[in-house]
Amino acid sequence: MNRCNNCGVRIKDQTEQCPLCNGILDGNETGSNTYPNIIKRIRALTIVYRVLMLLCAVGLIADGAVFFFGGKILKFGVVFALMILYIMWLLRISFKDTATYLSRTLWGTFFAVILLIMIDQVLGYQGWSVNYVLPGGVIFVSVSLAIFKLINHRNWQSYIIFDIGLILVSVVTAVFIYVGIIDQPLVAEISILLIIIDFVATMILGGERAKNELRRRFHVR
Amino acid sequence: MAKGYIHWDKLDNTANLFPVIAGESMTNTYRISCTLTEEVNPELLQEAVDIVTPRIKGFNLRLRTGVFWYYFEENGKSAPRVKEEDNFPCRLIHPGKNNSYLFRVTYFKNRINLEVFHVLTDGMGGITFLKELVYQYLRLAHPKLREIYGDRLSKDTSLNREDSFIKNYKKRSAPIYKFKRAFLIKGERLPYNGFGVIHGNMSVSSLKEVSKRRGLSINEYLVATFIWATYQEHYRFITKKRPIRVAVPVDLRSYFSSNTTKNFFVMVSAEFVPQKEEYTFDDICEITHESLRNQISKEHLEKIFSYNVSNEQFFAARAVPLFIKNLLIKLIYTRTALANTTTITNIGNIKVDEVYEPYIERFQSFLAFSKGQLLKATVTSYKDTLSYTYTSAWKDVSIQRRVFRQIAEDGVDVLIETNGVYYE
Repeated sequence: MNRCNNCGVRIKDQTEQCPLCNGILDGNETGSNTYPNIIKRIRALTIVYRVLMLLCAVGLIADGAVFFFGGKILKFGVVFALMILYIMWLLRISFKDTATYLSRTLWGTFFAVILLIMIDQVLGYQGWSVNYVLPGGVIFVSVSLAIFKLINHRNWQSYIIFDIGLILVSVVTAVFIYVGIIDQPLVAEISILLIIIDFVATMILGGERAKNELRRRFHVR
Repeated sequence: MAKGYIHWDKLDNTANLFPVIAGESMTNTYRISCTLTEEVNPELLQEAVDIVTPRIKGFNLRLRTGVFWYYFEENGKSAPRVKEEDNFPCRLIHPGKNNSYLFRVTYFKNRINLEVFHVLTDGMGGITFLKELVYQYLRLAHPKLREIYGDRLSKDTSLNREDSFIKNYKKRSAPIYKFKRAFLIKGERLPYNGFGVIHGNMSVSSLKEVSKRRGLSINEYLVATFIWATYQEHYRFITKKRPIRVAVPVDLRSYFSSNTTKNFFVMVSAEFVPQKEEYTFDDICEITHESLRNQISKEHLEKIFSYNVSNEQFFAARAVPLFIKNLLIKLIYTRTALANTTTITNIGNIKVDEVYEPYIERFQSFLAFSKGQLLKATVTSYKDTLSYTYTSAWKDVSIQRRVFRQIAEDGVDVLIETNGVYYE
């Protein structure tokens, strides 16, 4: 093994310099690395991610410049900015290898609905976002959960808690219908009905397994 | 058991903390690795993981989120996929990407790495699983071993999953954790959120001799080298208000006759509060010795965990929704985490069944970072080789340099091995 005379230690790595003091090692042995060199791969991935983020940021700055020098708010400029922010968020979760298909679906739908509601507001509020997009998002999540249950049939009961979450969203939707925020209620009513049927069917067909899942989820030790 | 019934279990007292605070930057994972005398065959390693995982019930689990508590559920999926090491160690184990399992198995050349999310178990549980995995792998790689010893689990392996905290706490006690902020190491971080590893491999017998000469145990001596190195490197910033405090986990199993594979440890701390201008290494050794010895008694250790357990047993606290509990746990954790400069864990001397000894070269282990502690150390030994491993997010290695220079100056031959990030 090569030796660092400054530190008084031997170095196993394949290197000419001491990792502790950066001094040149004494000896002619080649050494061996016991860990993979991963920096190259991480560097390449980081560069791709940063370039894509930079392009989005340039788009945002250009959009801002049009607004600043144009002197007035351009509706489509705001819509463009919101869409770029959504793309940036999508990029972030795509490069994050810990994001799951479930979290991507739930958060992706949530932010898409919020984005479209904001766009509706910017364009002079026609109500299409709450009448169709919000309940459409709920239906999309409900159908996705049903597909996840089929794919992950071994643990289908894991998704019951999200069904309960959707019921809470349906309560909000019902309140929106009641107070008149949703004035074209057909799609919203279909979404509420679908969710309730899905939950009741899950609990009845699921039997003990569904009940045990709720017992575990709500246990107070 | 009825068809469709899924076994489930509560988390132990310590484990409740980990899912709350775990994230990309604070993964709460640890790695224990075993280096063989031969190159690892990935297919056989996968086969070994497939055989061992369902048999060790403490690892065949997935973590679920309840309304009031997290809980474990039996994981019926196929075992996690074995991969060649291709990223920094101790990254977050995301169950969704790992067949819902809370551990990861990778390999590189002769080394098998087991990375465990601390919610499952502490170092003892990790070693148990790794040893079984290595035994199984060796039996597959060397059929003659399989012919003689079959595929049974080792007689030293425990499958006990009792919550020894609950079983052994006696009465409510006052908190004895230190909340006052300690000196925290700061500096420039490694690029790309790098994870630096420096192993210092040395002879156990030489180290024992050096420690004995100073009237210390090996653990006390190694903690003292850290305090000495930090004191030397950050002299001006270490004050009575910001002392060096080293958290030292203590395995409680031997004190309370437990063989649980759930977490069962508490933290004590070695504290260095400067009272005069100059200190020598001898002074620091004495202070470390006094600081640690006073805390390691059964009564004191019991007091430490009784406070936590009694809080958890309080019904009003039990019925608080999880998201509120999580906020409180995070708040308390932040206060206590900043009360320590680092954590130095001693995994102890790992012993394996005699028949497998010729195939095993060494064991090493290390910890991921935690809040305020971006440099940590772990001590692992096997036969006569001890690995004193430093993991760090900092580019600067001056503390590690001082530590290993001190050990070398004391006459111990140190062999340094890194994961290469310091050469970039």
